Amino acid sequence: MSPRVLCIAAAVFCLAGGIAGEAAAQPSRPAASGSTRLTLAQAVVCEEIRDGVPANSAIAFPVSTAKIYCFTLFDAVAEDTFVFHQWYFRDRPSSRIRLSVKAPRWSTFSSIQLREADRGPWRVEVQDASGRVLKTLRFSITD
Amino acid sequence: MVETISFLGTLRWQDLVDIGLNSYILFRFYVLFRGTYVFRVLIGLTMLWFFQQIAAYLGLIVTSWVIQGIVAVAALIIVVVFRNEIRNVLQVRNLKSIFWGVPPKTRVAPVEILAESLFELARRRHGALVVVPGEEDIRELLQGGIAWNGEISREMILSIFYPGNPVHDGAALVEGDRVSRVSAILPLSRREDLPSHLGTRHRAALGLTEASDAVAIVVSEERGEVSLARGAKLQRIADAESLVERLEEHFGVAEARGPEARRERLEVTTAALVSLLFITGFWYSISRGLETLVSFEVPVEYQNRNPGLEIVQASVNSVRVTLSGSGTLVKSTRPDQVRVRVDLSGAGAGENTIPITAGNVSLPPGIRVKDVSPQSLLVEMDLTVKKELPVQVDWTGRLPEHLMLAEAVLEPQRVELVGSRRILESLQTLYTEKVPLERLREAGVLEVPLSIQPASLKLAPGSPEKVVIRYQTRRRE
Repeated sequence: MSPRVLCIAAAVFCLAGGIAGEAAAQPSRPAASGSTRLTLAQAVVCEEIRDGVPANSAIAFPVSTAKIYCFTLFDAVAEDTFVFHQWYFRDRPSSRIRLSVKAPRWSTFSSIQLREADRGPWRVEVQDASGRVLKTLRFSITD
Repeated sequence: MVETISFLGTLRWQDLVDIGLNSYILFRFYVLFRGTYVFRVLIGLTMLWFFQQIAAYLGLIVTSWVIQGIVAVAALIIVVVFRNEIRNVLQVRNLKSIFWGVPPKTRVAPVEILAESLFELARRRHGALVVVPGEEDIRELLQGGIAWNGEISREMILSIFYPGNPVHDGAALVEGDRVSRVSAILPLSRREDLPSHLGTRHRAALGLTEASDAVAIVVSEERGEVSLARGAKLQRIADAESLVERLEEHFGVAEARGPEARRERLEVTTAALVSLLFITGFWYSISRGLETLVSFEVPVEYQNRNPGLEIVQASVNSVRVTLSGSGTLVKSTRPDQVRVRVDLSGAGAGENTIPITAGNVSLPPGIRVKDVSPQSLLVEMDLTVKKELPVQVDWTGRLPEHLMLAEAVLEPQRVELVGSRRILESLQTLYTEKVPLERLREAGVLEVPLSIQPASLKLAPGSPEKVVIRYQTRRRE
């Protein structure tokens, strides 16, 4: 695949209690990172981020969506650190994005711009600072 | 002389066996079928084939085609037309006589007594008609008659055809050394070109011989003549000796005594020599004809591979083999008869350079390897390992605009594969075959096969070939 990091937006923002409450309502699958005690409360791929909350999360997106996001929410962050969003297209690395994570609770996201040639199976690995995979999200870009 | 010695030096023991075996088979055919129509027809066919070769050599296109067609059709027809003769040879003779020995020439009928009796009848001007069957079954051609089954004697023949005897009309059937039937009615010839002095007996004799290979002997009561009908031809016989000779010829056997025995031995020896010469010439024309070259692209077959190693890749999948041999043999060689086998028993993990020589090429007899290209192979081998991989659905197509695919749970989520370590190391995900989103309902279960690429990879024992997908859609927000 041609070199690509499409439009990567890394947004960092502290979340208000309302957001935290909304995040808690999502079907979360926490993955604890032993060394950094980083707890991944939520990780989804979605079509947009509205007011810091993922909207239209799914596992298949039409290529006409133009842009998709990987949203991650970390809970009980002990100290400031960073994570990686590693995007793969058909097992081939596509882009690796470094995102800051701050205590005590933090959400962050990355995104890619979709092109016609991007149809197929994708995955995003959420990795901690040491490269340990906290979560793998699998999805497809379709017609 | 030097060339002859050089040629003899190139003969293999297989060539000698080849020539000897086929010469003997040809000789046995002669022994079994000599004296029959089959043998004559075979000789005729051989001559036709010979003429066809000459016609082809001279460039007579139509003549060559016509003769070729006749030979091809005749070879089929001969089996049908001469089925009785072939059956007689294969059934009547025992197995030993088919493969060994020359059948003794025994007398089938007391032909002298028969001949003398018939000429005595001629002298007395008593009409007579005697039928001696050949190889074919003539029972369907005979009508009526009275079973007789009497051993042939001069007195009996004279009494059968005595004009006062109720059975003197019709034909007497001679089988072996007996008169088996008398007063039999034969089919009459419909020919219109027969002389007017020939009566019903002659017409009946010709009628039977037109339809079979039997011989009919007619004694004319008007002229006191003896005639022999055979093959739809009627021939006057001058004396008893001539009749004996003709009958013996008909039986295909002559007494093995005196000069005749020597003549027979000479005939058999000549036949054996002709068979040997013919097959030797045939063998030489096929195996030592003009040198011809031909090349085949032959796929490489690997054998004796260590079960713990996998062939990852080879520098070539096929090699070009150039063969030489006589034109006939080379032209008749098919690509699937040429095989290149490479022994991997000494190959280990990593790159292995393996030479390809004539010894790696197996060929039909008489063909030789002139060249092999390339002359070596680079085969990369790797350890066979197992690896468990996560399964991911390869969705395709499109859902309705208002729907989204919210979730899909796979069962099993991971599958174990077996294959080359190098290939498996580069694989991180095992995908399913493409699953069209148009097949989905609001929620449901699908069973989807796995897409295993490359084909050298295999599912580990116990791993399923399909995964079950439990999916859920939801409305777009």
